[in-house]
Amino acid sequence: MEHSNENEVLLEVKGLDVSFQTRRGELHAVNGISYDVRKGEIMGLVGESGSGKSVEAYSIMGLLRPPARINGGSVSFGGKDVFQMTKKELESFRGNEVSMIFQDPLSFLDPVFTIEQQMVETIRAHDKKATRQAAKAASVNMLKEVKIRNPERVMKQYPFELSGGMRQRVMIAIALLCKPKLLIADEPTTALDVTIQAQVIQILKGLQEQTGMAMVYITHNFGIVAELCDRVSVMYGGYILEQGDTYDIFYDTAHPYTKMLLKTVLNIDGNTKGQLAQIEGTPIDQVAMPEGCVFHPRCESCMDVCKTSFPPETFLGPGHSAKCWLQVPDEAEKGKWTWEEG
Amino acid sequence: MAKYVLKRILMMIPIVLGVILVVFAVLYFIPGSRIRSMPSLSGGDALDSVYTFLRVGDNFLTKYVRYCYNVIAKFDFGTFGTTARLLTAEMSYRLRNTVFLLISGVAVTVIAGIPVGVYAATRKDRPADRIVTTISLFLSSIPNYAIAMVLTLLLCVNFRLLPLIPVYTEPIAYLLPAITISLGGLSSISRITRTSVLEVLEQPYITALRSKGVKETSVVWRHALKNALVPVVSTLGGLITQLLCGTLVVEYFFNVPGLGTFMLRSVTEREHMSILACTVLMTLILSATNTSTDILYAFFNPQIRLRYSKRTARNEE
Repeated sequence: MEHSNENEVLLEVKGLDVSFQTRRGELHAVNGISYDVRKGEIMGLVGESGSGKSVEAYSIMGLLRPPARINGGSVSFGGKDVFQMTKKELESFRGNEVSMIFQDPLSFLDPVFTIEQQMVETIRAHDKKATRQAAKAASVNMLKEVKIRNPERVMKQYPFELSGGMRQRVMIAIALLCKPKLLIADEPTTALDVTIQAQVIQILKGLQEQTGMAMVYITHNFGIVAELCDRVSVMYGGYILEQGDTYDIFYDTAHPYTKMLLKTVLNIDGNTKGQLAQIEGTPIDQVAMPEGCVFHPRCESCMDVCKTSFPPETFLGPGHSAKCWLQVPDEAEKGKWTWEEG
Repeated sequence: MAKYVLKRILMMIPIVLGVILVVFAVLYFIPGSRIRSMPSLSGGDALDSVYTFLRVGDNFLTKYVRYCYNVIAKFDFGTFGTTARLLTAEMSYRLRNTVFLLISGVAVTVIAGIPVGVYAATRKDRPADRIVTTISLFLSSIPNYAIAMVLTLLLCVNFRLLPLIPVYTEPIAYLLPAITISLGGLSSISRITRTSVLEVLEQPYITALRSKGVKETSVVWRHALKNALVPVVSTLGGLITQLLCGTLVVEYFFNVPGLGTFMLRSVTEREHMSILACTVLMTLILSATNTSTDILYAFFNPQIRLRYSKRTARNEE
């Protein structure tokens, strides 16, 4: 990523490796991924269910607990190593510097506390001097920012009294209360219906432009990526298979998996001929990982070399890289040859 | 909320009347008469006049309604069969002692049991948790009279910290009885709290709270505990019933002048009015605890609370 960008790197993930201890054996959730996010940048993390996106997000915040285990790698935020932080440092880091919003706002909001109690608590956790009144006023303002129409009333309500879209906006409001430098959004619109999705994304985009915070946006929806993200990392089986600027990913797609994901996006022009595109096969079993490239069992252009060894990272342009043998010139030539023969 | 509380309180009335009916009927139809066994009233006119005076000839229903009226409207429980002394004074004294014992028992259970459970949950599978779980299992397996004997032996006889024959006008006298009745409940409350808190700690909103930088102590003791208390409170209701039954034995053991000892004596002496009075009061205590459990339940669960408030419509935008 030798980007000639004057923006400084905010978040740097290096060789992060996370696994879970399960009854069947070790589940490799994240396998040595590296990327960085600059100030004010929106990074999209795309992949199917179970590709390690959420685990990755949780480890940035130091939220992983047993049976999850961090086997290696580092996450540094603004130069500080998150894994080396003490409990106290972590508590002031979370919510203040990095905040997170989640997929299902109902189960991620405490059901027995009012919105006001939850918001005031968050403010006072980071600003000991804040009075209850000041915290309350700040909360009402924040609710206005996320376009809640009747903030004073919503403050007195419990999460179950709100509609899905409102809950998600309330969660965004709570996450942004302390003006974090980075917001991790873990599929925040997946549980919402499409009109509400657009609304929530507009609000996120507006707030991002206004505050200049960086974002890691986790989704499986390339439509949202196109709308929102500056850069994209495509994840599969705990590996980042391709990353680059959104434009490169869409128009100069290098990895077969990315191509297949892009095909699954509904095409309004009707090029799908009445058939929804799908990726054959099921996501890999992360306890028994395949040999060679993780994607080879489902890949349309699988070659012999793919079955035996994992492809190296090939750089295709500024900030654009992919892990695929097709991008390794010699192997691609050989592969083409065997492929045509077979 | 007020509507909910009122509804719960009104529901106590038919329960109390029903219990009186059952016990009253049992005592009414039991054969034998105390008057007949009094030597001075061996028969004839004297007996007849007593019968008339006591309105023995009235039918069952009249007697039942009259009794209920006296109890509810005048708080008059009738008299002792042998001495014609009024029961109400005696009852109020004994009721006070039993309620005091019960409340101190429940207080020990709650004040000690819940924190122990939460603590064990935060130390899940570590030595501290193992020790707490083992002790609580041990305590819940011993009957409370056995605990009472061991405690008396240790504290009153061996170490002489407490008087062996205490004066029950001093609160300190209730210490041993309260500890005795609460130990069993304490262990079950702590185990239920532990399980419930552990379950809540797995919930997504706990992760979300941590992600906001809320302090771990606040996550556990404020958020997890409040969510976990709903099942704990519903167990507590059943537990108080157990504690009340426990007071019968414990009062007898420690010689506390409460409802329990009085009831046992009334049964052996065939004091019908006393048995009835004890039953009525115990029913009152029980339905009062159940009612307060229901109210507490609503307090910890906003979904139930709001069902009875004006704010019923969900906020849609």
